[in-house]
Amino acid sequence: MDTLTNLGLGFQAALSFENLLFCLFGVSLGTFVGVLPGIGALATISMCLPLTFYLAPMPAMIMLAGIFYGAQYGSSTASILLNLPGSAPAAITCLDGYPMAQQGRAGVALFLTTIASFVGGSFSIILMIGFAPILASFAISFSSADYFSIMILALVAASTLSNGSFIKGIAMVGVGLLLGMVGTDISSGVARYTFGTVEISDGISLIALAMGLFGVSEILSNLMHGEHAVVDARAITFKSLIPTRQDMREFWPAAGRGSVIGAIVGMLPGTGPTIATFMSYSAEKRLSKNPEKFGKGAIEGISSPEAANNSSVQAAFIPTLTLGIPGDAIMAVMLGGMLIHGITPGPQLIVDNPVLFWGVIASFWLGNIFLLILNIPLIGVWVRLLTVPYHVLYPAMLFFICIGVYSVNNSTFDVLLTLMFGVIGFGMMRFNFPAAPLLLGFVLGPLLEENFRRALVLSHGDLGVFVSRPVSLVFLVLTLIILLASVPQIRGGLTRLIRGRDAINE
Amino acid sequence: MSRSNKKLGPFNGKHRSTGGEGCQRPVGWALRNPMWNMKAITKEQLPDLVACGLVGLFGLAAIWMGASYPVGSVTRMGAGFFPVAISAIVIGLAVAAAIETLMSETSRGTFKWRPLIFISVAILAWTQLIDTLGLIPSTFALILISGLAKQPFRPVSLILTATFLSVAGYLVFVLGLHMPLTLLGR
Amino acid sequence: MLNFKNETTRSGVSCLRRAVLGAAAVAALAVGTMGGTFAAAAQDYPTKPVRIIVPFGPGGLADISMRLAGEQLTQILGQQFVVENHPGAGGVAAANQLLKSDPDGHTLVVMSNGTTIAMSLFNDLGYDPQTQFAPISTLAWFDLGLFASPSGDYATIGDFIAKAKAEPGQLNIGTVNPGSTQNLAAEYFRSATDIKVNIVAYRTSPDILAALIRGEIDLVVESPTAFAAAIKNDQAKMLAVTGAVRNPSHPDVPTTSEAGVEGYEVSGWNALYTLAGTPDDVIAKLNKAITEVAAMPEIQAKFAELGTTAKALSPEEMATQFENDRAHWAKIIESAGIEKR
Repeated sequence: MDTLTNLGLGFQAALSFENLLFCLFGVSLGTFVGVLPGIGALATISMCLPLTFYLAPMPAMIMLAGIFYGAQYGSSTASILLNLPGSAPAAITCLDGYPMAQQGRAGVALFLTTIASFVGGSFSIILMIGFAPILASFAISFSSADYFSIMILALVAASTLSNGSFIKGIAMVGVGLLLGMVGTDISSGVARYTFGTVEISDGISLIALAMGLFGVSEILSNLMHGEHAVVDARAITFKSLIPTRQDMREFWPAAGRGSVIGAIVGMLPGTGPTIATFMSYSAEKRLSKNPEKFGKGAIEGISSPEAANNSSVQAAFIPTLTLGIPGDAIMAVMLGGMLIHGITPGPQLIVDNPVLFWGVIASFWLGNIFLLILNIPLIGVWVRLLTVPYHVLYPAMLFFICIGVYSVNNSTFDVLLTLMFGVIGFGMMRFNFPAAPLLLGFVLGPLLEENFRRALVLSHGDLGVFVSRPVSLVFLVLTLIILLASVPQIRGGLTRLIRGRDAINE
Repeated sequence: MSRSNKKLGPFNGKHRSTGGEGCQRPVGWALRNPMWNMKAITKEQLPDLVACGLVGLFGLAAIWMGASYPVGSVTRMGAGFFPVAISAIVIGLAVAAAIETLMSETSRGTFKWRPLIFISVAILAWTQLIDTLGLIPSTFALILISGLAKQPFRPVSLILTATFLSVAGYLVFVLGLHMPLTLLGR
Repeated sequence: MLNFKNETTRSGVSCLRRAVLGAAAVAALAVGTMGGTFAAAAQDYPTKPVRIIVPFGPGGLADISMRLAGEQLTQILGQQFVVENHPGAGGVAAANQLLKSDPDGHTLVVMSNGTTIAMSLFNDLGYDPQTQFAPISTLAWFDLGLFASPSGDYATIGDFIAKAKAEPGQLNIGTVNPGSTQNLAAEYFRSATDIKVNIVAYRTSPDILAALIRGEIDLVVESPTAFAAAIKNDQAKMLAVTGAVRNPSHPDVPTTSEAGVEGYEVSGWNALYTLAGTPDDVIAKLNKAITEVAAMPEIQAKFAELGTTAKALSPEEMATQFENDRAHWAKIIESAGIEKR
């Protein structure tokens, strides 16, 4: 088969010493940067871009790509161990990963997230190999109305994210939506809620919000209420790092589902891994036979989002390489890098330079294998991090949070925002207002609005466009189904409200 | 759902007299709604209510500012439409959350000022010092001040940590990632 | 020591006066030396790494062109020229960095035609580039292009204008966010040709490309750099360039003036500025170096690949260019009725 021969060529190229070396370097750097809160793949790739001017195109691409998907492997480490997300998509992994760590199962969590990342990444790579052109055209055909419907689905699905009060969860989604509107409105150019300050006229920094809501608030909470569980070093045995058979039984289907969701979301330009992880978590919770275990250390709660994370990131390469249309800012930087090397990604690339195209894809898979080999032994090292006494650990965490947030825009204003959201987040924790829905609302809000308005502009004011487009219709129907399925839950919530029963499930 | 749960609060008896389970006629219920008969808001519920109130206030501020932007209609949305619509929903939900709180028993939590003050001051100090005095002073300030948030204060281990982090931070972020930070000075 | 007040020297000048004069002489010498140090500074400039503050994120045109130039400047002037990214609306974050620095030429900021737009777009920008900053030179020049789908109905701009006039309110022009050069150029186009079309804003350039492929929009106003890949992949066709002369990388594409929109011209540029009050010799030295860089064949080639032209201007020409653009865009923003922020 033609694809197999091409793939063979690709592997041959990717297995050259130079390419392997840069692959290893890229993924290691990516993992390291991913573990650090705040600073992420975008900053690192941008900084490494000038270095690549001196390299041939293939090793350059391989290295930059390695940083990108490598970062997704590392970002859940701090989420699990410290309840501090390495990046916004990793915030979801905090929900079940951190409780697992507190139950003494940090090693298992880290092990499973690594495997899940590998599964997710491999899934998208296989998709890329087999169906890249078809998938790319399908992804591009999504218009604003379709995007809107997907986002609505994500929003409704997010209503199940929190375990506690349903009302408070939705309220937080609303608050997140409002916070997302701070900044310059993309459709009209009007500056909203900016109070004239320039620092937020481009919106509130996502990292500042995530680090504050999840990181600083957690530290404040621990200091006020009690200790973050310090693990006894002697308790870390090799056995404690291995998951049980039951764990694995729960793991595989979840990782599979996460990979699929991640791939679909990742392919679409403009959506990111954050939406993918949130959606996969919500899907797991809804599909699960006992949803109460989520938030307390459910295996599906970490496997699905992690698989989705890597799957979406790998799938983002599909439109980039196949059509030359980058899915997000990171892809755009890589595209810029390719152009400087005189490479034009797109339909011509597969024809003109098949070795490069297939070589890069082959290197993705090699990179994922490297990451697997790299990360598993590191688990023992990371788990030892938990033995650091808290009075030293939390100042160090604050240091990484400050410098990580600062690094995104070289802005101290963002760090102050982080503090503010930390205090707010602490208040939210205290009164059972969940933070994850807020984050999702924040990410989705501007996209929802932008796509809705643009859909109407393009349809000349016809609201029917949302049901006349097939893709949009499908997602709206799915949303309706989920809403109907939630009726018992909503009824239950209202009943509890009216009848005065305890509304907070402890 | 268990009704024998002791968390039912002060209106337990009233409920039974309205007809028990299955009787959900809104009007009759509303007239006999125990909330009107409620004797007192318990002390524990007050902070929670304030929190709901703050969310409501946030929604009010958002709707007030949002209305100052051109609102438009559903098919021709202006910059203000979405904000106004969502803030209205948030206000409604804040009220609902407050009602929910009144209906249930909330737990008392501990609150200490010390962590809040010291962490805030620490981060503030870091932001002021990083651009002016560089990585070392700002890191030391951050670590030591935030260290004061937890008793007992252990200066030795904190100083060691701050030293290690300054050096490691410099190696990783400045030399490795080319961030425009100085170790000392502007 | 000496009793100044009452003693006089043989020439009759009081010792006090002599002392004062002596002190003044020493002071003058000191100042003169310092001034000489400044002058010597121009000789020695640069004495430490120079920061180039870019008000855009990494990977963009400004960023890449400045990094390429920075490498060459490092070779020529012997000190590291380091790019720092300080993105933020209106270039304010970047401008603030410059304002906090010393007028010794070691901090440079990138201004662009976007800055001239920002001056009219923002109610209170917070800085005034024309008085607080001193121009050095332009570096990269870029025109915008008008694109359509290769499989579409339009072979020339004339076709598009004709269809727009035949079907008012039906056609869509896609650009990036309102207030950007591309968006304003589209507004300008709309008013210059007097057609009724919808200008649809997208978040990023790839989004616009996807929309063009889907057939959602009929015309795109974007920089040829952003659409370079699209042109090669035959996903977009450039109908016209907005500059005064044809783009050397695309010699077959007419300018908008040639294609039927008389007098329509939009040119973008980025330039290096520094703090006002920086010694003229330092600025002259920088200008000379940048002119040298812009003339280098490798730079010309790399820039051409990016879709831009490298061209330097003298500081005086730069100031004139800035003012002309500022006035031009102020007029467009006014007539298009765009809201100030």
